[in-house]
Amino acid sequence: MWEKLQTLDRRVIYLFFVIALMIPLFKPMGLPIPIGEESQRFYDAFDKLAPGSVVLMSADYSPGSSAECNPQFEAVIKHAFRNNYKVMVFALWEQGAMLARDIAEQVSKSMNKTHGVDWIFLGYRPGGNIKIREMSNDLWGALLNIDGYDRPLNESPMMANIKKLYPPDIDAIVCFSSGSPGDGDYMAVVTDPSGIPLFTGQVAVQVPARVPLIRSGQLAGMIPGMGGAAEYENLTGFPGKAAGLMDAQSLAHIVILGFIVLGNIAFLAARKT
Amino acid sequence: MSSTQIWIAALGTLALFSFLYKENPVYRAVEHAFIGLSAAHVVIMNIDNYIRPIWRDEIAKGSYSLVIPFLLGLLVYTRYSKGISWVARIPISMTVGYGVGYVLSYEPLPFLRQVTDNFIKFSGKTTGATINNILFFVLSMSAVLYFFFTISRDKYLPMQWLGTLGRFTIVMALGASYGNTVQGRISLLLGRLQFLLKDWLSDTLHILKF
Repeated sequence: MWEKLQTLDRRVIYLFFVIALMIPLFKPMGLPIPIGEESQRFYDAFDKLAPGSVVLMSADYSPGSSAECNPQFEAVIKHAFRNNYKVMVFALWEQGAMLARDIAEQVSKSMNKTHGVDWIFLGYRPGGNIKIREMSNDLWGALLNIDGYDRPLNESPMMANIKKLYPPDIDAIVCFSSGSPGDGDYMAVVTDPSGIPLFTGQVAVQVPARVPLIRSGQLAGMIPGMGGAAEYENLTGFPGKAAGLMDAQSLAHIVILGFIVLGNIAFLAARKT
Repeated sequence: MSSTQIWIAALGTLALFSFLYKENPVYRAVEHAFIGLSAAHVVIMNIDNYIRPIWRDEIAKGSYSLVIPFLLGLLVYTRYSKGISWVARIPISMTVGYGVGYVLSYEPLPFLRQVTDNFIKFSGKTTGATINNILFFVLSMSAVLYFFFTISRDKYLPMQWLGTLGRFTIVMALGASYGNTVQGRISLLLGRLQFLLKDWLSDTLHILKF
């Protein structure tokens, strides 16, 4: 029996997994979502920015990571709009621009924010760290004087005093990242040399690598994965998609732990016999 | 999303999930379609967001010097011709040169800040903070010493102990990384399941007039 358990068809594990994930989606369990240290730190530091602060929100992720990064982006942009920050939505990844634009349009409509006055969509620009460097010297030139909707930047009142991606023209950068180019490039070119805060929303895979950067102060805050997005939704008081998925996430982890424990018991028992 | 988009996305998702049961032609077809569409999307986004505005707003209005880097970029395609493929090395070498320059000028600062962050005072505001600081120092140093091979571990026992401690530290960090990876993959699956059960199912019920 123990040998059979060790060679269990993986499709059986998939089936258990899918059932465990689907049950809470139909019947929520209402498990509590305690607020993690990283999300709390992000919230506190982001909330401290003065009203009218210029914040660049960079959606540097692909649709494959949108399940984690979209809820993060939505929670943070709602927070930014609530605090009346001036938001620039930008992306160094092609699909990230589209994903961010859809969320920004939806949220700005629901919170009565006007494009060009309260927020602006700068679109996608290729080049990674080269583009960031160019933007830190001459933002309008790097964007070819047009926004993400192909309209001239001089038609947007909020861009009148924002000429560089560098202080004092900008006050903070929030980078939602699932790889490179991403937060590392903003850190190297803009935030480490200038000292303005860099916030980040990360896919869970990259979280362990970012924890030392929080400790050293290079990251002002981090939203870790979908769990972090759920925590941030609770902190801001704006309910979103992530909080509703935490029951399923917790149950899935329990299933995985159960199989790991079972596998180890089977291994040890098989060795004894 | 429109109903057609939802159905295409849902059927594509299910086709890709069919791989979990067994490799099959439907999965292969959708996989190849996805790869092709992704590549096409990247090309179009770059043309629409960069190349077209450069030609329309810069080169056409007199910035003719921008044609030079454009032609240099096109030289990369000479690699497909056996006789003049060596020409492709020119733009590649310029890219590599920029990359080296960027790394040398911008990368040391974030890294050095990590190094200076290790210069910490052991005593903290609370006992827990003090223990944390000491643990952080000892474990990070032992992890670094694990890769120090100049001093023989057989001859010097402290190096052996520190090396073992360093190995445990690295394995613990890898375990944390594994746990986060599991969480990340579950989150991605949940996103797709939510789409199938919420958007697709409600659209299906709507079509069936329930």
